Amino acid sequence: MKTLFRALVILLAGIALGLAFLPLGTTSWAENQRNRRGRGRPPGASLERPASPPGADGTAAAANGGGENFRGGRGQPGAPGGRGGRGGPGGEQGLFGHFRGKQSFTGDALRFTQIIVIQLGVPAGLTLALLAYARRGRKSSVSA
Amino acid sequence: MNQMPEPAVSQPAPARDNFKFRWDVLLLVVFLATCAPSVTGIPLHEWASLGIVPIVAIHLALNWNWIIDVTRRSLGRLSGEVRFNHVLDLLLFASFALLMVSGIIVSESALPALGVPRKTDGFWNGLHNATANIFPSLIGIHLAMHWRWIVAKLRGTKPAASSPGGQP
Repeated sequence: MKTLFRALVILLAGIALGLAFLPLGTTSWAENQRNRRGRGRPPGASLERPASPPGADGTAAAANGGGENFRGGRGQPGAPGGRGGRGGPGGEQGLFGHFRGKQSFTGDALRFTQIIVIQLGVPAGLTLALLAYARRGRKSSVSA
Repeated sequence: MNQMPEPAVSQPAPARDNFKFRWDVLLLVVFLATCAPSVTGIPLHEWASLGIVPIVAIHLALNWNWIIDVTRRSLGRLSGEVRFNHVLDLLLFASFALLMVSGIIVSESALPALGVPRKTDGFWNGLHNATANIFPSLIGIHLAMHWRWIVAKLRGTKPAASSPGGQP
């Protein structure tokens, strides 16, 4: 019961801290970012890029900002005599973004490996090395 | 100059410590699941992220004594490791709050499902992505700071008393 009450206090503190971040959105820095990034996808828009029109040499329409989760659109079959559109380009990559346009087991496994090895493992390994170094230094200064 | 002995932080009882470890494993699994929206899909990413909030709150509540104890002593004498741990935990808490707020603002699935209209905002989207890229690294450092405790728990042995492990 005491733990739940404490969790509630922490939750409220977190909400208060979160709300304190909201004014960030009204700063000139935020406005500059918005102008630089464009207006983003309209509400309700699909994550998929639009497919190329039949027969067109299918470059999918450019994603309108944002775009981390965009996937390349599939080309529609061509009109009689026309060529089928080519798939649109894949989604824009984030810093550690998405390297594929289709769901695949290998892609999913790669993404999780990337998170665990690069994003979690490298900082953890560096910290462990630094901690070991600091502890060794402390031990040797005590024995000296 | 004489070194003042550091007052010992209260050690949790074994049963509570085991529960804490299991809770932390649950937290890590849910956290990893939220890390890859391209794999899980946006709806699951958003619902799991909302679900992680009470898990984090309870994780912190289980370590309440350490938080209060070290915060009280933070202006006085503390070992470098404990101080670093405290600052890291503060950073984690602040970045988690920012991650949640930005995520809620740019929510595409969970909030619209609850009847809250979706607002498209490039700034919050960018901030959410930036925080989401930094946050796992902070978690990696957090795990490393408690590595001895984690290894002791996995081996079923008693963690070393000098280790800050077992604390947030």
